[in-house]
Amino acid sequence: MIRWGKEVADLREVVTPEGVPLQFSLATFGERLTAFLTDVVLMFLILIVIVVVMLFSFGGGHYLGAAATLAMFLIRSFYFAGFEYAMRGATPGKRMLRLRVIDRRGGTLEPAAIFARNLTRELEFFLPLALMVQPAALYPGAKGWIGWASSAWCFVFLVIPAINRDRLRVGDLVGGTMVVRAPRAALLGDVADDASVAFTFTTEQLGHYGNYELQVLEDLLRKGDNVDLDSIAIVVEKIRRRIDHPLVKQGLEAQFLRDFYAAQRSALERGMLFGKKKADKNAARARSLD
Amino acid sequence: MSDAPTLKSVEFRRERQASWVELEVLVDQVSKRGTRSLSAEDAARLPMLYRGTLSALSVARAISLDQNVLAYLESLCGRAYFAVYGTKVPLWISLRTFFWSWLPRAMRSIRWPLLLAAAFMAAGGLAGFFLTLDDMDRYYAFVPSAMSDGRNPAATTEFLRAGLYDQTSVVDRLVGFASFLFSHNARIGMMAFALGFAAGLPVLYLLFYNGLILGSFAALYHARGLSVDLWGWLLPHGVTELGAVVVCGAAGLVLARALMFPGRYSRVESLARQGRVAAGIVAGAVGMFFLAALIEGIFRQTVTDGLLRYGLALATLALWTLYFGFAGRRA
Repeated sequence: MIRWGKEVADLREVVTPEGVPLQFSLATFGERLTAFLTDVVLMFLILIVIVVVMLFSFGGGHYLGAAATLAMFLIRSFYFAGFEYAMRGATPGKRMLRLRVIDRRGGTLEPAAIFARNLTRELEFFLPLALMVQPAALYPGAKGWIGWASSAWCFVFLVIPAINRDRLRVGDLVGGTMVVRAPRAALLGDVADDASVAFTFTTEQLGHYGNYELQVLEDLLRKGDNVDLDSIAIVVEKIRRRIDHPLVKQGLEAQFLRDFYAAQRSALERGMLFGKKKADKNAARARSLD
Repeated sequence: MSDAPTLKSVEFRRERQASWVELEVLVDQVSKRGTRSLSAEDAARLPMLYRGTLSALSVARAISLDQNVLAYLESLCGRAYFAVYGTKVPLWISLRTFFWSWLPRAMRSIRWPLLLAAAFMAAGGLAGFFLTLDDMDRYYAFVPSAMSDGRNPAATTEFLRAGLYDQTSVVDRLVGFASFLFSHNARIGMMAFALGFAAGLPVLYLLFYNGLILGSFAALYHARGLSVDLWGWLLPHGVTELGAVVVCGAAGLVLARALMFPGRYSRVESLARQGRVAAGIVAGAVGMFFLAALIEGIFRQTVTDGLLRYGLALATLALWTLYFGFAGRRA
């Protein structure tokens, strides 16, 4: 299925040479298309700049033609490979969208892999384009429709990343690579790192919720002052009823939530150490019954 | 109010987070200004910090439920992984090993596809030669008019001969000619590789068609008794250029083989393994095209002595045979 948007997090695991699995989310078709088009535009800009500079330095003539031909060839063939080599797996377009090329098996991104994944762009993009404009390149006297038909056939390769599970382009298949997102996450404060504790909870009270509810609570607490008091009060009331805790005084709701989060996390983490994982409240209930 | 016992995960984070932040700063620097911008000390610390943070990630996965820390470590380790395991070999070292041992070895490892590619081109050449000799009008069907440039059966023998010993063109034009030839041929070669993904048939077609043009061309000159002159004109660069075409075709066939007969690997894995080898070989072929264009653009138009032309052709043949046959055998 074609995924355009950002919301889908398709995770792929890559085992690093140290043996630790790292998770990356795959780049979507839309992101990769955007990156590619950005690069194509940039390629043309570079070419135009080069030709203009040459025009002023050589003043036209045969040398200009020679240099322009060579520049065109070099840029067309090595723009992607060159940048992916120099910028550790990212072209300017990919960098803009925070995408990276990585080795599918987790090893070093080899120059050969980079070269391989970019050679096939001839087949995927430039060849169909050329055949559409100039079908005679196929054989002398080829009719226009033959050019169109071969282009259509080549464009099949262009949509391959849209229809396979890992969104691999032909070049990714040949080079053994894949394109993932490399987003930045900021390190925020620890919500449970709070010296003052006003509420304590019994083991029983901490047996009602699982990891999922803890995450929801963490998200809520991280929003801090952006959350209005009413919704905090509602959450407090819900938790209080469920765990059978006496009424919470007005003004202490936020403190209650923080303390409950810390205590609940402590309980769940202790469980984890003993190999007991509780995914959510349903799992927590099932466990308390046996 | 009482002090609750500190959580293990909180303590763990307090101890480690300084080194995470340090790694983040280094990774930011690498992604902005490249690995070279690191001081020697930082360059040595980067992999250490990376391993430490990676182990912190596995510990955090086991003991912490702080979503933010997990997400942060996951992203930091990912970005540090790019910094440490993105391409790491300096360009000139990889170039040296590439040309000194990798390329000739890889070439020897694909001798059967090479032979097949050469056979197809030869078959095209023979077919083109005899079919055209049989009926000169077929020349027009085989050779694109843009390529023949007036050198067709309607031309006089004198015109054809003059084309082979043409010295009138000035140096200006030669440079342009060489650069055009190089980019044109190298592109065709890369295409031949890429077409390998389309199951190889287009590769064989391309090779055969290339041979057909050449054979047809040879037939035209043969009919006018200019065979010796033609080959003297063609072979000095032709050995290298046709060789490179065959090499690219063979790389395409390797790709096709990996796709159709993956053997004990999965198709995807087999493609990834063979694809890199084949792509490296194509990179070598691009170098061959470059040399061929230099010879063609500069040598051919300035040297008209038949013996010298054949001498150079033989020399290039010997050179490629020695290089691909024997280089890098010991290392």
